[in-house]
Amino acid sequence: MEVAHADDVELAHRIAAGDEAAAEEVVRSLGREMFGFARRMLSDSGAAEDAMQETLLAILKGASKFDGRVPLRAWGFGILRHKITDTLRKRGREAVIGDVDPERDAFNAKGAWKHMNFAPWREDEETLQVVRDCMETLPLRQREALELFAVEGKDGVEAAALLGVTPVNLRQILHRGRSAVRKCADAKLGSDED
Amino acid sequence: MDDRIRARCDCFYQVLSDYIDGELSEEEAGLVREHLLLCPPCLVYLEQFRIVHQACGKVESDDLPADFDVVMQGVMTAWRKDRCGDPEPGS
Repeated sequence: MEVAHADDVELAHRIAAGDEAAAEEVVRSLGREMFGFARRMLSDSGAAEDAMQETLLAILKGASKFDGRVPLRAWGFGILRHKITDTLRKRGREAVIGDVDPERDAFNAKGAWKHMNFAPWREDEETLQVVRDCMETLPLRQREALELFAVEGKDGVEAAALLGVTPVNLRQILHRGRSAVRKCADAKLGSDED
Repeated sequence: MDDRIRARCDCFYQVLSDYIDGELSEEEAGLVREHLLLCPPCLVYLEQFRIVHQACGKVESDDLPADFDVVMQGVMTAWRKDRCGDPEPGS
């Protein structure tokens, strides 16, 4: 088997052997980022803390099973994603992939908008809060894509790897997610106007 | 996609995320800008999309809980306990 991430394998072996410094390195390097991601996904600091703790402990306890086929970080985020999915499922939110373009019926045969009455939004905290509220209504997959893309930066290669999709698929998921959030927020912001 | 980006709102829409993320070629980005000059609704749509994009990018604003270091130490303690049955080494 090809080991693509030998440094990570060595780090995992040290953890499996009980190396405290190696364990601390992983906990400190991943903890903050995992907490941030979990909090945005779960909208609950306590639940995010639990998911992060459980994930980090699972990484440390399962280090001997890490085989280096993916980066240790991606492996850890994979565990975290499962924990977040479980938490959301218990809340009644199923992990549904949003595979329909929110604007699929928005254009006429000539490719123009059927309804062109878009009104500018104010760029203030209220608008941002509406946008964030709409993000919470996204299917899990789209929400993960938006959050991971924001964490990983614009090329999205690692975000795609974490989600188990190609970078091209990630871009489509991102686009539909943003589009769905825009549509949701526009409906709320528009309906609030006098 | 080529020149249709300039002429059609649906083609503009399809490349909007790529435009915002800087993933388009200079030529394609130029066609998007030309479309925007001719299409006020798409300009508003773009600005709304940008706000959505910015809201997703608020990564640095995560405020860690006050006891975050304690929480992290809790992970280490639980790991030690799992390995050795002793929560504090040397105790």
